[in-house]
Amino acid sequence: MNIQRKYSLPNCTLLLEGLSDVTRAAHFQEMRPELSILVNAECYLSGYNQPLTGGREFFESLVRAVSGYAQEFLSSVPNPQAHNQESELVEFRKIDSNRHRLIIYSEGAPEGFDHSNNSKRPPIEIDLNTVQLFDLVEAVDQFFADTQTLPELSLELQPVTRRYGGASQALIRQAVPAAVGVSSLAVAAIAFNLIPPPQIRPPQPKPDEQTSSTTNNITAPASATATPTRTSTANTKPPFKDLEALLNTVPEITDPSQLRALNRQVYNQVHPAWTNRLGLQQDLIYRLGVAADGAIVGYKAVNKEANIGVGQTPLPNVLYNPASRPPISNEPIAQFRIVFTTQGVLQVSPWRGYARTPEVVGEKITDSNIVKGLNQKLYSTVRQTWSGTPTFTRDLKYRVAVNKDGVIADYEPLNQVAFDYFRETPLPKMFNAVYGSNVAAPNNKEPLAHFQVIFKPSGKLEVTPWEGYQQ
Amino acid sequence: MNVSASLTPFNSPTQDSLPMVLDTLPDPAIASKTCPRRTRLQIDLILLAIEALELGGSEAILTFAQELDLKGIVKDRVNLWRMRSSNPLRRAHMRRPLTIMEAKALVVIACHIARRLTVVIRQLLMICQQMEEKQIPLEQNLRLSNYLERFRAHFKSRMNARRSGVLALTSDAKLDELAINLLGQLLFCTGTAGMQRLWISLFDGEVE
Repeated sequence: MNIQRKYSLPNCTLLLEGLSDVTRAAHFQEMRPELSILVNAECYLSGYNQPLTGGREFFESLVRAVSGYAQEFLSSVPNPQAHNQESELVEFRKIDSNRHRLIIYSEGAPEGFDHSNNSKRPPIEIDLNTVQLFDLVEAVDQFFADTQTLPELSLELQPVTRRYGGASQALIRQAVPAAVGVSSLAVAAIAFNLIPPPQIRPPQPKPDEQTSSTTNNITAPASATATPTRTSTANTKPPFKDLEALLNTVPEITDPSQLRALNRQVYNQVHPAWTNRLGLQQDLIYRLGVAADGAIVGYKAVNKEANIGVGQTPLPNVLYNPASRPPISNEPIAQFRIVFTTQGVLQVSPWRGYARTPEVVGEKITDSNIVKGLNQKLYSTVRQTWSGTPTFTRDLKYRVAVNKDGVIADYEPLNQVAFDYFRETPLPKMFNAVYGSNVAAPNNKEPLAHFQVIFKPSGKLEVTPWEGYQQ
Repeated sequence: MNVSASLTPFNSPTQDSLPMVLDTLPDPAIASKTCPRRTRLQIDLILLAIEALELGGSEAILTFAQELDLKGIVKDRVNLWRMRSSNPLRRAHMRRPLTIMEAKALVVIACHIARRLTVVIRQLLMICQQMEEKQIPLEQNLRLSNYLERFRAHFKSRMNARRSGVLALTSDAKLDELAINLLGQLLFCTGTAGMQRLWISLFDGEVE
């Protein structure tokens, strides 16, 4: 049965269209059946002919942003829920005390539809005055108060915590130069790649072997994709030519706890650098050599396609830069297996697996009372910033570390869905707010308390003290 | 004797009915049972804006306390004045705490009055919007200038100039800006969830 709900205010009309869930009984007698499945949401604002329209994701994002911004309007304390540009379709920006900018980002094209980037429409921006804003808030609040329309969405208000209150403005300002810094570093790194280190290509007695599944050359930044125009004038030392030869001369890192930490560092370096994830015909598999500080010192194709397709991976770009880091002479090396799958999934694992269950490295907060307090604090911080209906269908499990003040120091996905859906959790946002980047090295200079945090598809959140990795 | 004497308030009818009205406002997750500085300041300013909107606003506060069965908390004029003097900007600022219960009562009252004044609040804000669009000074509208004038007068007579200087509320223009902002906040108080929204916002940045 098609149901319409309308919440009408002088400057704003919210129109919801949907269906009632026939599997839930007892609706037939009701005068006003429950709208439980949202098909379409339209938001008409005075002064704009076109309504804002979208599906459930848009609508949920809208009510979250509106609710967060209403609170910010009342308190003048920035509300993270209103400015979640990274993971939300709707965002608010305060222009001045009487002008409030509503920004709607277009929903991504459905999968398999159109993959070209330029198909994405620019965001819609609408400036509302305070009365218009209030009418939008009121329409949303009337929806919240309506128990027969999407009853699982209800008004949940919580004060902004101190961490995200006073400090957030300063953090936003700091984050900008930090990001600029990162990108200029990236430019420098690219520049270095254009002036490659001297070509070190180990003698290849049998040319046909180069395409066999285990070629012997560990590719330096340029070797696999070297073009004739490149010069060999730089006097920097090259990365390692042969991973196996290297391992004969240096000790190998085998401590499982250290491997686990390095595993994440590798993932964090490669994952954001792998931008074009489509078009792989075959999984590309490499063996990676990694120094104790996380620098990727060499890689080697494991399968034939990997050798040919190295240009499609970010490996040449993430290889450590010998100019900016002292050359590796006798450092211990850890080995990893890295797979770029045809589905666009990145997998990193220790080459030889873990000898035993790894442990979290670093000093820990052990006082059970403090841990208990931090547990509650972490729960309420995450609970407050996590809202909306999850799109994942299995539990997302993370290890989250906080310092004695409860400030997030580190988080680590523990299962694949946790990698895939991490943007649906508030963790990247929380980490980003403190460190200015999502791939910053975890803070482990002070004692930390570790917790297992589980986001359930039902919207339930669980935070429990860390009991070690489950192998 | 002492024991039975201290028990009587709990059995009195006014005390019994208190939670009914105040239950819609949750206790904030703060350590103490008293309000932080910003909460005390904000509540008093909201009430000040109401007084500037409506002649006899302070009478209305007491009348509503009666109507809403909040007499057990907001007992009389002196009691109300003491609560509001917990605002650190007040000339007669008292180092008296404002309890969470008292704050809830004042918020409930403020929102009920605001709801009754919905039409006036909306009209004033729309006038304000139109004047700004046409770049006409706000004082040229009689109704608006009445409100602003009264607000400035109330503010100056009751607030300590040195302390309000800390918030840069020194010029008439700044006070007008504050008065308009408070008008916007009052509009939000009139909404379906306005009371809850105002209440929660009072503790933004104050909880751990």
